[in-house]
Amino acid sequence: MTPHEIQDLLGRIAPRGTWCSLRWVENHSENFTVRDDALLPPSATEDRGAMITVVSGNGQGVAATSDLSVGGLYQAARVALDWAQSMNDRGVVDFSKAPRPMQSGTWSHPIEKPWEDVSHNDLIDRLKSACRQMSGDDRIVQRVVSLSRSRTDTTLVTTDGVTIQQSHDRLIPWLQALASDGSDVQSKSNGGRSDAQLGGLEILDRNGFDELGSSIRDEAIETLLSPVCPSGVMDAVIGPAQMVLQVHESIGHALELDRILGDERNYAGTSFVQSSDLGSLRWGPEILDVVIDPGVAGEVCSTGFDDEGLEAEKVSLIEKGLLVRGIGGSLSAQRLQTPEAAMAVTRACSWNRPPIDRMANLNVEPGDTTMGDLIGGIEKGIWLDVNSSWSIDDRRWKFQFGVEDARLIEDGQLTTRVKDAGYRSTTIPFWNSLDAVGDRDTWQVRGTPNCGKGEPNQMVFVGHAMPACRFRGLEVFGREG
Amino acid sequence: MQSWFFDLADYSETLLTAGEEITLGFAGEKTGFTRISAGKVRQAGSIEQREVVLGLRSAGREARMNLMLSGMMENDRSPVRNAIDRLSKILKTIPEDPNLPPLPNSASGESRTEGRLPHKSELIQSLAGEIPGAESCGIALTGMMYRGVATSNAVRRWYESPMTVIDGSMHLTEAPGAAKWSWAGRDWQGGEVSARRERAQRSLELLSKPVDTPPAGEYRAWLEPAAIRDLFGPLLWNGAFSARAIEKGSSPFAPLYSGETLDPRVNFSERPAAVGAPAFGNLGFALPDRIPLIDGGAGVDRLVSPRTASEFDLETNGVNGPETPSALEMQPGALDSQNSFEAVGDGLWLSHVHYCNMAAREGARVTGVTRWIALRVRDGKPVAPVGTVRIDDSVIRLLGEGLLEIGNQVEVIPDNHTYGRRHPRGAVLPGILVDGLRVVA
Repeated sequence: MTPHEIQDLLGRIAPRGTWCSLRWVENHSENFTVRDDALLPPSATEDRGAMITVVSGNGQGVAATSDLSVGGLYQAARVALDWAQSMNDRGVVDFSKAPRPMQSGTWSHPIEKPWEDVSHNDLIDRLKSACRQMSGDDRIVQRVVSLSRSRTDTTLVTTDGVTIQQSHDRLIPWLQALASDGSDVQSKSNGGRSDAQLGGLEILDRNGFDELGSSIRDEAIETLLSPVCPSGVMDAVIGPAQMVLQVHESIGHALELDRILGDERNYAGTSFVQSSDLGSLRWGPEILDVVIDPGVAGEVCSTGFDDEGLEAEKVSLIEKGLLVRGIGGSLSAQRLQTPEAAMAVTRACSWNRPPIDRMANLNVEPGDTTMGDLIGGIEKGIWLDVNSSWSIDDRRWKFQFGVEDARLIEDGQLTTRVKDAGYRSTTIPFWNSLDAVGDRDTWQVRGTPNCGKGEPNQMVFVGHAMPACRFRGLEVFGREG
Repeated sequence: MQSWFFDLADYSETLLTAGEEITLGFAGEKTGFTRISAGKVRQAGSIEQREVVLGLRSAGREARMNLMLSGMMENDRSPVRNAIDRLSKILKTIPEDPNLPPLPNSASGESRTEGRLPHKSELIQSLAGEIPGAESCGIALTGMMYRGVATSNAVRRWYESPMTVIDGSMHLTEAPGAAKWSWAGRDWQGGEVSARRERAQRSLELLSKPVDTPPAGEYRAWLEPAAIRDLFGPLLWNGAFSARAIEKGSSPFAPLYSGETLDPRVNFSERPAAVGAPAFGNLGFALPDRIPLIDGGAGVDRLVSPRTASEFDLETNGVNGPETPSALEMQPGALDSQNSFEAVGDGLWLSHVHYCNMAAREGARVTGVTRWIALRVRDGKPVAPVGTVRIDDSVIRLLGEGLLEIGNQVEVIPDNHTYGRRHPRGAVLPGILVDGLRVVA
């Protein structure tokens, strides 16, 4: 269906006297997985559906359907209307006054090596080669390499005549080796599921995919043979892959306006941040700058608009350590009486879920400290990278995270690898222990496909571009914590 | 829905060429939902979806395609035809699958449950409205769930069931406390829903007391059934009962299958009927009525998918690929669950453990934080909420040397997760009394 045809369709199905939008989503995905040198059955997905939103009186209802016939959509529009009328006077806001999309547009991104241009055989050979690289040691008990591609085409039309069309093509490479000596098991991967990017197969070249297998194998064995991480308070350099998780959990979710407003507190949780903290809370030292940036090449949530039609632009959340804004779309910003603070982050995982406030590309801006100086500035401490476990309270205050990749730092040098390393802290004290932010050479564009939130539940991609950072006086622990 | 799916299967078979086999798995739902924030409706709507997974096989190879379909044969023939054509081409480009499991022999069966679903207004009313000193939040979902399997060697299985889930919470406005409550069932019982809501409301009085946060240390504690479910979550998705993970040694419960034991009173099994889950797996194999997983504290059977059975020369019990339970059942014990506070004496009482994750495979060590009703117990009485504290302990220890008693009442806990779709699965668990629950600051 062309955007024009979808617009025309909406005109035919919209209940009279209502405002409606129709979000039409098509997802095409493919996955190839090689496990212990054997190709698992390749899988593909052809997912099509639409969600119609109807505003009637002061209520709003939605209906999602995989029946994209005129009859199916007409019926869905009546169901949504019925929900809108059921909501009347009981909604969190007067939905007739809720912000609406104002501007039409299109957005897509460059792809250097399209997925379709490469044969299945070539892709499978590449995965098998990576999987073979992880072999050669009996202590490696499982090797998995997978490559997923997900292309999503979204068209949003409204009865006001707005039409927005966007395409996102994402790639998710995954390598993991499990090493075991019969009692202990250690896992190594390419970044703990934080390697998703926007683009084509050029991502594999850029990330050195074809050479990753052997280094993952070697690090898995090395970790297995390593001593358990010592416990104690020490200085730490957190690498970009672990910074992804750290910022995601203790900045991103804490700043989501729907959590601050209380919408999310039955499921994912609330936030220690109050609306009155926006513009006044010192989050960290002046070297900390955190932004939502929809314009970073290759980052998974680069985009032109959100799923409610707001145009995307770069905004600051934490500026020189000061909290200036929360993460929220038009409706949340309006509910907080700060409509000017809205940003294009109201997103849905697919056609069958309504959009909610989500992190998009949530990034820490690079600083000016080289990797050598980050590590060189520690007499006795630890390097922590690549997340392996995560636990944080529902207010996003107390947390405890584990990593795959940990090495001691002694006299300014990386020394012994250690295993089962974790660390714990509380959000604001932790960020105020930030002592140095790595420069652009340490900054990596990363992303994850697995951010869960919302009721009904939604899993979305989130982009995080991160430098390595140094923290002072972190509580670090090993197996016995 | 059933006739459309089986017609689709019949049509798919007409498209096969010599030597090809096909499987069709189906997951569908008609869902109404309302999301409540502070007693008001944040979102409300309906979802209707029909997902079919086609698996085409030929010459020892398989390729799969997930299709979202309309439910109208005249519209769905074309995407199915295109998918089979595409899969057929893929099969010609991929190597033989050394572990491709055989399909089950011809079989058929259907399971239909009937029950009343609530009207939209009843759904909204279950969570909406004002509460003195607190705000009501949550999600109410209702509607039919469907599952089916059909194969070209004459397997035809069908499952459909109504299900309503009210998953709510009440949040104090002048204090940080919050109470969780829920109801789930196939036949709407508005009176029971109201009774549970009122019970949660009564618990707010205790939660509004000043927080009495326990210092780091080890505590005698009662863990409610939902807390057991929470602690088991990361262990299950890390392959606790997975035959493949146990064979590879990566399961956190692998030691239980090689000599290590839990307390002899601990018995776990997979029993689909316990939660009304489908009695067949994705490939159409019938599931056993009961798969004993832990018996008398020792590992017995494991969850063996057809592929794992083929790879490791085991006998499959027909479960799905991830080898995670869909209906984990723990046998109750002797302690009167109603007397859990007295049984604790001095210690903690936890309804849930939030955001759990596996910190180490060794010992099945899990970290999480308290949430919802977490209470300090003194002299056998709940005296104050404990606030947010971190838990970090070994589940093997908690169910082994740390286990004091198992409650005599079990709770059916439906799986409320709705990522992608609703799920007809859950767990049946008692509460447990443990010694030395490890609290870290």
